[in-house]
Amino acid sequence: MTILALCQWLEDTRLGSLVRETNWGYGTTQMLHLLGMALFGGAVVMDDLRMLGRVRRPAMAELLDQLLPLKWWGVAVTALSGIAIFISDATRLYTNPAFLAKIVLLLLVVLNAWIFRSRVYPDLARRDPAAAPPAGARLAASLSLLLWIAILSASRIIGFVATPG
Amino acid sequence: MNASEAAFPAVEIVHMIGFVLLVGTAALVDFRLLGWRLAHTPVWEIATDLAPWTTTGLVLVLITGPLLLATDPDRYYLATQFRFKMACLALALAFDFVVGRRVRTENTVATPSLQRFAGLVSLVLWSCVVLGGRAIGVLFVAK
Repeated sequence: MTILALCQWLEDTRLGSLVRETNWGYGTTQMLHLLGMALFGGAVVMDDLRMLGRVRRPAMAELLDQLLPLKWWGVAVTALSGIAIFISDATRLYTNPAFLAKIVLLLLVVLNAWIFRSRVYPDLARRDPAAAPPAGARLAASLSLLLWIAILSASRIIGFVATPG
Repeated sequence: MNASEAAFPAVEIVHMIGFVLLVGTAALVDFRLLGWRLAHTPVWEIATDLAPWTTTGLVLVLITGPLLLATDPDRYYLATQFRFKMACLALALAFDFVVGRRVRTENTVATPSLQRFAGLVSLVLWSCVVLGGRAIGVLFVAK
C-alpha cells in the first residue's frame, strides 16, 4: 500500500468525511485544536520563562510538576483533534511542505523534551530552589520556545501553500 | 495587507503567538484562582510574574487583529461569529478591569469563593473569545 493509498483510505473513513464535509465537524475539531493549544501553550510558556529566569516563582521543580497535567491534557486534546483534521485532508496534507515541516519540528520538540526530562530535570528537583536555572535548563527552554513558534508558524502557512481542491 | 501574499499569514502568525501568550497565561492565573493548580503559591505571586506576558499577548493581538480585520471589514463586521468574539472580548476585558485585577493583588480582601468565581468567569469568557475567533475561519470556508 502506498502512502497515497493509505491517505485516501483515511480520508474515506466516516471520521474523515465528517470533519471535511460538515461545518460542525470541521468547526469542532478546529476549536478543540485551538483550546488544547491555549492550555498546552500557557503551561509551556510559563515553564520555559521560569527556566529562563523571566518568571521567578514558584520553585522550578514544583512548577514543572504542577503544570505537567495541564500539558498532558493540552497535548491530548490538540493531538487527537489534529489527527482528526489530518485524516479529513490526508491526501493533500502529506505532500504539503509546510505540513511536513511541522511534523519534523514536532519530532524535534519531542526530542528536546525527552532529553530535558532524562538529563536536566532530575537535577532540578535536587537543587536549591533559589539558585539560578542551570545552563541545560536554559538551553532546553530556549529551544522549546523557538521550536513552538516555528511549529505555530508552519501551521498557519499550511493553508496558504495548499494545492486547491 | 491585501497587496502582499505573505502579509496575511505573517500577521496571522503574530496574532496566534499573541493569542497563546494572552489566553495561555490568563488561563494559568484562572486555574490558580480556582485552586486547581499551583495551590501552594499565592495568587498574587503567579499573577504578578505572568502579568507582563499576558499584557504582551494582549498588545500583539490588538495590533494584529485590526490589521486582519482591515483586509475585508464588511464581511467580518457583519459576521455573527465576529460580533460574538468582540462581545466576549469586551466582556473579558471589562470583567478583568472590574473584578479580576482586584482578586489577585497581594492584600486582596476577596474571599476564596469570590476568587474561584472570578477564575471561572474569566476562563469561560476567554474560551468564548477563542471559540468565536476560530468560528470566523469556519465561516470563511463554509461548506
